Amino acid sequence: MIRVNTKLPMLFLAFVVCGFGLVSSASRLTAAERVTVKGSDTMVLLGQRWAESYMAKNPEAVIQVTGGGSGVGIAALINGTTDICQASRPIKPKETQSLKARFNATGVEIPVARDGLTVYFNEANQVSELTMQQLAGIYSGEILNWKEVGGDDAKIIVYGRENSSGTYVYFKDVVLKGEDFAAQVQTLPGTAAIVNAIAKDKNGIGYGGAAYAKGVKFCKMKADAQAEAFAPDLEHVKSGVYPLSRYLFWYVRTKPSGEIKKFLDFVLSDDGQKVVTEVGYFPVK
Amino acid sequence: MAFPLIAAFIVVFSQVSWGDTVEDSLRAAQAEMKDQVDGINENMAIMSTEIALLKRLKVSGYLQARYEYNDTSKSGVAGGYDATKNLNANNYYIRRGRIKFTFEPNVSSKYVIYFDASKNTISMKEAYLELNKTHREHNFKLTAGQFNYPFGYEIEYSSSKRDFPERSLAENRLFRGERDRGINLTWTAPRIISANLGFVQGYGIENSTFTWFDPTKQKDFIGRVKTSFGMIDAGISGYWGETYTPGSAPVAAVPGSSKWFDSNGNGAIDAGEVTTTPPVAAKAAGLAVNTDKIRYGIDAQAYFDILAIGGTALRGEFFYGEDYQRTAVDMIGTSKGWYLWLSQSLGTNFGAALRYDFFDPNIHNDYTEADPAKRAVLINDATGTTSLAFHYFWDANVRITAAYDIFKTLEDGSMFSKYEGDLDDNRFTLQFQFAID
Repeated sequence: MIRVNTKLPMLFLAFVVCGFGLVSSASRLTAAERVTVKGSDTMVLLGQRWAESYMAKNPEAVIQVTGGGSGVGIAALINGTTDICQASRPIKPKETQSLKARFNATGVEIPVARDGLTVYFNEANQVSELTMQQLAGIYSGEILNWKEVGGDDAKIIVYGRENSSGTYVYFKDVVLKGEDFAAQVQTLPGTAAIVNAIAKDKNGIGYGGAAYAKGVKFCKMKADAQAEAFAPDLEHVKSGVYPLSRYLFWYVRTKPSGEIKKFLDFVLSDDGQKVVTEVGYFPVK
Repeated sequence: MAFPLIAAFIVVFSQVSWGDTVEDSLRAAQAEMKDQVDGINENMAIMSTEIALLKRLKVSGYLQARYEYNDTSKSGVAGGYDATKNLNANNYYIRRGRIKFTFEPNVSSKYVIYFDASKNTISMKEAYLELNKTHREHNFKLTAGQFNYPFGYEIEYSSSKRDFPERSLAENRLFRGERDRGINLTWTAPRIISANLGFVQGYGIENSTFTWFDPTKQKDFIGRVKTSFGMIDAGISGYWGETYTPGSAPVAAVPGSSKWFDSNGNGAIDAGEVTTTPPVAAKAAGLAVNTDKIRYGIDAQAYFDILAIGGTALRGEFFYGEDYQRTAVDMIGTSKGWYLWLSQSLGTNFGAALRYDFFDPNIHNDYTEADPAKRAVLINDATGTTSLAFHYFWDANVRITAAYDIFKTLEDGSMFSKYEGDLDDNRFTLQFQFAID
């Protein structure tokens, strides 16, 4: 009979630990300067522009930016496959719990830009402003015809984002107050797709980041029927009077350090915030 | 003159005719293409609807393949020490093979069914429906079916995330199986606080006598309040219920006796030649009774971002339990247990953890047992376990864990000192885990 004493498993453990340690160290050497950024589709263009500007000034740095949606970015932060998550909504308590369970960390939230979530109309649409209540009515299915909000007698074709999108969550929380989207809302895979659909669809309505509002007209928003209508521009988003003003965030697992901190410092610098304006969003400072 | 005119007419006529033909064919091609695009759009719309439906069904779960080596053959696998069984202590086995189906057609309701295929059985771990309602940033959730006890931190903390091979001993003994059937209402206030109120059967899903029914009419009440301040989370939990104990036959009194066997045949009483049997007290028939079953718990977790290598967490939990015990003198037995768990991330690929886990299953009747042999066992029935774990995160789904558990039977009244009769029963575990979130 073969007898095994406790030394054997402990030696095996040591072997496993050393082996993986060596493999991991080797991969770290090749990826020393690489920073990965993943998340919000609303922010993917902004992230890419930041990365291009930063890499132009720091040739040794490699910044990889991908989209997928805020939910996808936060999931990647939780499972360790991205260094920075871009999110157009705050992290949820359940996601923070997952981060605590995997990385013993509560996460660090950094507002990096401001956005006025913009409601898009086709340029031929007679309607130019809505109240928050009317907008909620359109997306919850209570208002079905443009004539109910001062437009032509035509059915409203409603476009929205898929549920992995932070913009979807923000819209649901702020406009619909947590209620469900109507079944007839057509889900499209990105803000560019929504803008494209509305540019072609006279009776369409959609929402997304202010930076994408090209070839469509944006809707002025009123907090209620008595309030003044405001456009999603710099002045009104920064002052907060535009009712759909929001922050765009970066999330990292723990206090930023090394290349991540250098990149973050650039994003929050005057040069980085200038990129925000160039892309079509609004600076945090 | 006539010929050129005729020729010109033919040329013009043929050009017009050719032009019309081209236009017609272009129109036809355009119409055909439009029909094709419309057809694709229609199919896309159907596919989008079907994909949207499929996305509402989420499949998650995890598999744990494990090698376990125990120092002595009397250390049970995955259940702690069991003196009655001579178990093989060197095993490869599937500790968990779980698959969970969650169908969430909308935000207001959810259906969950959760199976486990491990060791040699397949069992249903959870099956419940959930109704959600949001009112002014307050979320209300009603869960009905079979679900985790809403008690303490460790019960709901998935094995796929936990640093150590097993949950703490107190949790294992007081909430065996971690699940029960009933209803549970969860209220989540904005940001800081949440609370659970539930009614459950009280016998759990691993009770072999009452497999699905509750012999007591009264239902057990369970409640938990927890709060989160970012770096610190804390909660208190309570459980008030009843346990049914079947009746027992009367016991006749048996006087104590001594027997002398002259093993060396020298006619004298030498050491070891007298065997003494203690008297057995008479005991009346025990009536079937419903008695109290009580649990209290406190838990707290703190998260620190002080080391450059990664996050640090300190977790702790205390359990107190009261259960009816039919012994020489029937009584309510009390038990207590606690653990302290330090966890450290080492970059994104590694993690390490240390835990001390204490459990005393019988606090106040250690000295009341009449039988000296039984009393000796009761006095030294507390366990202190030190566990060390090291993780390597292979990728986003795979974790490899090496853990070592040092089990100590503790001296009477001590929470740390080893009893001299403690067995050499430490355990090494190597686990490969694949998880889908």
